[in-house]
Amino acid sequence: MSNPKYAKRLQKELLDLRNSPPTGILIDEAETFDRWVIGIEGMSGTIYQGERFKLQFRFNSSYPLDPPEVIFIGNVPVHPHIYSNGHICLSILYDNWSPALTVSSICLSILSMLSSCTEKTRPADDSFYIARAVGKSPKDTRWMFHDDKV
Amino acid sequence: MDDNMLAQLVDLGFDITVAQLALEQTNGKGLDAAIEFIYSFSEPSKLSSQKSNSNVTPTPTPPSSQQEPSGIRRSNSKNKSTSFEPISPQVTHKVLKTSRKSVKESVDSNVSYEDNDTSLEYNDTDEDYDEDYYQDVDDYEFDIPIHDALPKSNTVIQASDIIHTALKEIEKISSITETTPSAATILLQHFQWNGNKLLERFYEDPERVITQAGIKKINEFHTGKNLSDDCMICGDSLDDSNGCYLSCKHYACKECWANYLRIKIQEGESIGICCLGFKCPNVVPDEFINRVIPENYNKFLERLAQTYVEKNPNMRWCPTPNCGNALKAESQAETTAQCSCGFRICFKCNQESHVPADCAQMKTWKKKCEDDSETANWINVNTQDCPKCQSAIEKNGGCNHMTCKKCKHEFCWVCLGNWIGHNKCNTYNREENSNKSDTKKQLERYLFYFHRYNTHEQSKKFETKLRTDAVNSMIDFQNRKDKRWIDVKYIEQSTEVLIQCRRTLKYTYVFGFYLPDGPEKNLFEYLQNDLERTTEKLSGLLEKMNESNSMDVKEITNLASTKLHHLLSGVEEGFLGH
Repeated sequence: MSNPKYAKRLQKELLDLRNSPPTGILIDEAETFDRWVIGIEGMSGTIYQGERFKLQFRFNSSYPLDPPEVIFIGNVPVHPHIYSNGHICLSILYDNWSPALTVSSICLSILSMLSSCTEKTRPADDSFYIARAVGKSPKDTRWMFHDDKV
Repeated sequence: MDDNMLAQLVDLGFDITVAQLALEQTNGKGLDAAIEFIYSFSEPSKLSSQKSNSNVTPTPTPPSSQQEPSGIRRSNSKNKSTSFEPISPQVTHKVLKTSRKSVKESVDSNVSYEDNDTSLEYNDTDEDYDEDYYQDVDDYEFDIPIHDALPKSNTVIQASDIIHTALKEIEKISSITETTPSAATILLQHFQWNGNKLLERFYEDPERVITQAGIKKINEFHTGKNLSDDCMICGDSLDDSNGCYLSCKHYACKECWANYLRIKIQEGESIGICCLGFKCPNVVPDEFINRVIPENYNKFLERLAQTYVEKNPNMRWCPTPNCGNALKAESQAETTAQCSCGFRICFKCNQESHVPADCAQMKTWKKKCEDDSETANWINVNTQDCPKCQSAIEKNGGCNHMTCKKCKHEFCWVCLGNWIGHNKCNTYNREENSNKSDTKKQLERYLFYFHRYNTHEQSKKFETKLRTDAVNSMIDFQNRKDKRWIDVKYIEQSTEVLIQCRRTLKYTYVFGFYLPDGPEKNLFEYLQNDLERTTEKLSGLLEKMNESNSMDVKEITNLASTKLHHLLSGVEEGFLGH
């Protein structure tokens, strides 16, 4: 459940995404302010050309002061920074989060991360990581001192 | 000991124990050296007498061949050692008393004894004195100032003063560099609170320092400005009640800024919180924080004080639970510091100061203790049996001189040997174990040292009790005996010396464990044994504290201090004088 103060912000972001979506970014599901699913398309000229992926966003009441939880669901791209359980190793989602970032800017960052990749491989510690991260949010596995209340 | 010299000293009017002590300490370097040594006891008070005693007429000076430039009073006692021979022993005795008297008197500088100091003979004419005031004149005659066991070269910043001290530091830098307090805070943070380095660099190239610390436009911020943009966080429109931004022009409303800053402060950041813009390196000035979240500003200051202590390489928190004081060394060369709560810290490893053992030895030793603790625990039971009647005895005080309640047998808690004739139990006796296996011998050797280490560690637990006891007897003395605080302060000082000795002794066993056999070790163990015996003696004296043994306590305290110094300087400089 979103904080009324920030519902307005999500409302605004949703409106922007609907009216002028950036290339390769589409809203799949945005019924509530708790969970959105955004579809992204591999850009042409990259190794992911023509592939479609789904990103799941979960917002807590402190968004945007607190980053949303972002993971791939369904078809997870094979990428050195993306684990096979959908968790993404991207600093702006955790330590380098800024409240100035938006759903749209996150999607663009992830797209650019995919675009700059030249070889489809899983992270070296994939099997080790996913075994430990079962049932956990990527935010918890990374943020050792993270406190959900804030 | 040279009996001849002892006799001479006694003839000169010195107390026999003092004379013995002096000869012992000066290793028979001669009569003059011994006399010099005796007078060195009253040195600190003489200094204070120069400072505080302008209203007291000087004591008469005996015939003198030289004058000390530093003060008449000082020359009085000095002369005695240089011009001894011409004065008859009888007179010298009196001079000595006079000087001690003056020393004591200097402590109470509000009292003048102009009427009484006209004659060297005043010790023979007690009636001349104000009886009430000098009724315990006997104490004065032999009063010895107590010196600290270990020197202290750090300042203690009380928990309540830390914020204040940090702010004062900021203020100082701000006035010298002619920057705002906000900018000075960030500068200091940038230089890890090293004010001198900051100023040095600042004078070299102020522009560069300011750019590097990122405070170029630190003072350019607004908290309440009507803006055409909306808040980048919540999308509210910004008017003159809520539009806030720094020089980087990341516009947001006051509420979003407040929420953002609160989270950052809660996460432990203080100075150096960056602007909420994405990857914006602009630092939020503390004045901005004060305006946006005045209710959390104190929390911010607390965090600031915390970084002040933690980032400063010359400062440490006192590790005692609930103490909260900070310790500041004068320079980074210092290795130890003492808190007013009595804790002594090693600046390198943040543990209790462990002289003479070094940090590496302590690390190995602690690891060893952990590994071998099962065996050690098994061996190191809390009770020991009386060697005579086998009653189980639990030690509940600091002294190792035990007297069995049941059979009155006196023994040493450490080696269980008879106390009468007991003088040495700190040397591991290897011959005794010659027919045992190597591993067993090694374990026994370790347990030997561990047992002694642990015994002193156990005594440490009684520190609090010791301190309380000291305060209690001080109050008791003051009430019952009508003594002044200054007369009983020595009890507190002696207790501190005792605690220091015990702590050091504890770590000497770690040091000894890693010290290879040889003449150096023999010398070390000799000094260790010496200190241990003096410490036990002091401990025993303090336990049965009464007003009649005050002289003994003071003497033994100083003796223990001296022995502690000998041991530590021996370790520091190498025993064999390389």
